[in-house]
Amino acid sequence: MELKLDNIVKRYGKLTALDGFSVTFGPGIYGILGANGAGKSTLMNLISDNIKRDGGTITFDGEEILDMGSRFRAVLGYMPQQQGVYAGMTAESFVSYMGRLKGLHGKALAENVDEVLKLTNLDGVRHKKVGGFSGGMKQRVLLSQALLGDPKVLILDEPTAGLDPRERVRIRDFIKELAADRIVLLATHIVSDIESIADEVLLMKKGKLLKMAPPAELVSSLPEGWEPVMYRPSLEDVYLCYLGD
Amino acid sequence: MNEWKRVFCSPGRLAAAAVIMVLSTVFFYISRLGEFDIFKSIGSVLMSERYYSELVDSIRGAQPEEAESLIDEDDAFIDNYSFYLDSDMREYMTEEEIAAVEEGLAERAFFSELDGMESSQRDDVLALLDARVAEVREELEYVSGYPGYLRQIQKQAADQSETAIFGNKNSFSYRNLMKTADEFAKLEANGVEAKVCASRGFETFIVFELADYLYLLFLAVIVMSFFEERRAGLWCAVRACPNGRARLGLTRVAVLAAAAILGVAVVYGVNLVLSVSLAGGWGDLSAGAQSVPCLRSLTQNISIGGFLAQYLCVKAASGFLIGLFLWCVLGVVSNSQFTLAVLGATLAAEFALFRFLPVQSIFNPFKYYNIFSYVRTSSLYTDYLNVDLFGYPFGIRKTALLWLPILAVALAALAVLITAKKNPEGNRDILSSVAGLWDRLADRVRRHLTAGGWEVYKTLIYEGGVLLLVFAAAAASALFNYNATYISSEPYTRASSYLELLAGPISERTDRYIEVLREDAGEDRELSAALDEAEEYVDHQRENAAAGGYEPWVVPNFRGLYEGVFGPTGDMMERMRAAEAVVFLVLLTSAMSAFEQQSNMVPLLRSQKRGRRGLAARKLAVAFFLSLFVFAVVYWREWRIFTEFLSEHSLLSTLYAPLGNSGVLGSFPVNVTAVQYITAVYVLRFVMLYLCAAAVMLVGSAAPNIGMSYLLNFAVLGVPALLYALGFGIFGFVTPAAAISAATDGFWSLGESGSFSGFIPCAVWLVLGCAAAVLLLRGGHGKPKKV
Repeated sequence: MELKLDNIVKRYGKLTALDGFSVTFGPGIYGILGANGAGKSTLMNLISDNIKRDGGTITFDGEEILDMGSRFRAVLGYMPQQQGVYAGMTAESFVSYMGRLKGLHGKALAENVDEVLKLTNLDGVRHKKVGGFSGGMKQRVLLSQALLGDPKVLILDEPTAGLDPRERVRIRDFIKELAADRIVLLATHIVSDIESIADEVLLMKKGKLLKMAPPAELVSSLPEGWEPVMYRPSLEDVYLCYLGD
Repeated sequence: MNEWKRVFCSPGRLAAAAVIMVLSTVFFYISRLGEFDIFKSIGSVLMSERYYSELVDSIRGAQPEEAESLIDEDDAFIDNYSFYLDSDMREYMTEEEIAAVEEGLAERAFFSELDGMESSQRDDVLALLDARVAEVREELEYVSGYPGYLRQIQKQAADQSETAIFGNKNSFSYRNLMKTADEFAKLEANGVEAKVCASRGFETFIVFELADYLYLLFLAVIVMSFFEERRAGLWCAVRACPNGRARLGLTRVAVLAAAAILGVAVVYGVNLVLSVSLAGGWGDLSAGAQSVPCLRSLTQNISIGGFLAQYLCVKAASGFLIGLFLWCVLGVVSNSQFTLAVLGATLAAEFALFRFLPVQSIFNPFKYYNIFSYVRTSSLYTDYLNVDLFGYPFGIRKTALLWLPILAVALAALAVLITAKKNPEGNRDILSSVAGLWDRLADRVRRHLTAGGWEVYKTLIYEGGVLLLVFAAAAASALFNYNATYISSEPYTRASSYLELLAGPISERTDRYIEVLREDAGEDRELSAALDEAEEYVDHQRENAAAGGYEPWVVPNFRGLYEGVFGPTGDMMERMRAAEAVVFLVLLTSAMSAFEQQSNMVPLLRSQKRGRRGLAARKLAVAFFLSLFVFAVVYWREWRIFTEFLSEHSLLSTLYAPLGNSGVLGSFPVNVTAVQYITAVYVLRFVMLYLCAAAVMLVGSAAPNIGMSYLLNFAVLGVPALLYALGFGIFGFVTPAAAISAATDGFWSLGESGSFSGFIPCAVWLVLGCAAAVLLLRGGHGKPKKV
């Protein structure tokens, strides 16, 4: 299983959001770090084909995802950054509806919905309207729908934003479990999340891939004499060192 | 932000106010002119109204007999002048009659304007003048009868009070009779009288009911704006501001008062000015209000001018009270998700009590001391009624007006108190508990919905489609009264009656039947002539059928039924109906694409396996059923009138006759039956309607939210359709209403001239509608917002 981005270019008017971006993902968790405007969300939107690219190719197992169309979306689980939900739907209805759009039906859908609602700890509020949920609960609803249908490629844009520490740890551990046989792309500002679960970290700056390596390797690559923020060097130092101004 | 600016400068609310004003004005114009006149050109209508005003002026102050003779003179002159203009009819006029017309023309400068007109427009104007004369005659009859009416009420009261049932002097009934007699006697004693004063303009203005509901809608829009911070999750933030509690409440009271006055100006002021302009001026405002027929029961001694001033002030005060009432009801609802539902339920309950509670019911105070008494303020002036309170009669108008300031002050205080004291969190929320129970049960059903079923559910429930369907059905039913006339006033002749008996395939049996009828007719010359006419028709049908190669039938098409429904006579009605269908479709389908945009769901949906073409296809399928619904509510009555008329004359079977037999449609080039022809017309209409729905959805998918989608669709599709229906032919180039109504014209002109040109609007919208559907399928149901 391989998701390959080759020489991707994306421009918004005069602004170049991604400039000749190339990377290959195999099974595992990839943490994407970058300051605001670095191109993380653009990258996510390009892989989920929510925006048009200006150049380059994205292939899944050697086949262009645009040619694959709905076949690619059948193996994709996407959790966007914006908390777009149907406020009038209950959590169960919302996840069921998204399951239908993923092509699930019958008993498989019902079981899948039950499973993801339990995993995201929403089982107790499944009959409550999503519109009345807190930001963290909405995050979990969006994560639930992304997990439906056993996706091979999971794109999670800020999945733990707004969650309390206990929930964050729970979700983080769960994502780690998921990664065994799938590609998980994780964009977040919470560096500690990535540090503990990512197999590799992508550092993005102004639309370019600055570095891509396992967290420990990145930490060890810090220049000599760097003063760590805490007691010992961490990924946060990597962020500040390479992506800070 | 300044609260005044926030409420009054919001583009959405400004647009809503504009739409309300346009709807009020358009429908008022239609009701002011009546179902017949709206199809005449505005110029002709204005001319006739000017004539009305002149005629009223000419009889003002005259004695009843003299006024009546003046009206008779004008009536006769219009009839003679019609003959005079028609060269065929002129031959039958005597020289004296011609001289009289020419003499009359010299005296009536108004008619010289008709000289240069085209004959069709002149006929329109003359028909309108006839109608105006009849109205002045009615007005005169009312004025002459008013003193008698006053005496009759007093006599009736005196007579009834002597009967055993009403005789108990301590009963409400007796006191009510005495009070009624006394109030009307006072009017007579004070010399209140009705005068001829161009009252038609005032009458239509006062009784126009739709304006009251549009005003209510306007107030609801304003009151809903007071709850925006709750819906946006900013309630706590607003209350944390120094001026976010009592002071905000007081400001909103002032805003509501201003909105109530503004609404009166927008909804009623415009209608009053329009009405008066059409009637040729304000007339005699010093005449007693009782000069307006609908105010005959008013027991207040007041002039028309005084009445209008009082009426508009009461309207504004009532509007303020209604707004406060809605505010208080919504204010106690903690969960902002239920505000619309609570608003709808409250108004529905009040309306049900107002409209359906019997007058005799002991609960009738709920009927009269009801928020809708203040919505329908005119009924306080047009209906004389005393309500039983502790055995004593109280005039509904006086008590309602007395309570008005008291209630307004009390509700204003309550509204401020709610704004200041109601906490955003920690309230007991019964509605949420009930809704939770409902959701628990509904989830059991919803989990079994298919993807298509979900789209239907979303449209009907989450987008409020159910309410819109009910509204569309009710509005279609109400609007049909305006344009229901199909069958011409052509007399039903003896020959028609024979053709009705002979209807069906022509065979030897037909000839034998004619012989039998001839024997029955005997020596009666009139019957024989009618039979000759029928036999001639049968022979004619036989010859045509032999030439055309189809089976001959007797298909009576008397009284212009086919022309009225499927031919050029019904052209304007078809336009009206098509515009109605377009407006309903805009209402029902505007939210379908915009809902996803508003919910910020587009990126998520587009990343699902069936979230693009599949979802768009399902939405188009839902639009298909909505179009079918609109088609049914708009056209089923037309079909019913058509078939009921046929059924009434036992002619339903003639629908299966080859079309060549149906005289007016007979030249249609393809050999089909009448029912096949009609089916083709209806199918084409429906296809055009469905393509219009696709266009609405495409426009909606470009809008960032549902409000903007409605606005764009009304601007692009709804308003041009209405203007086209009102006779502005130029809008036929840009509205699908032209394509829907062209289904009738196209088939008709194909038969008449063999030309396909009548189908041009259909062809244009076929291309546009298909392009819209393809774009929807290719682009999913919208584009994600920029990252």
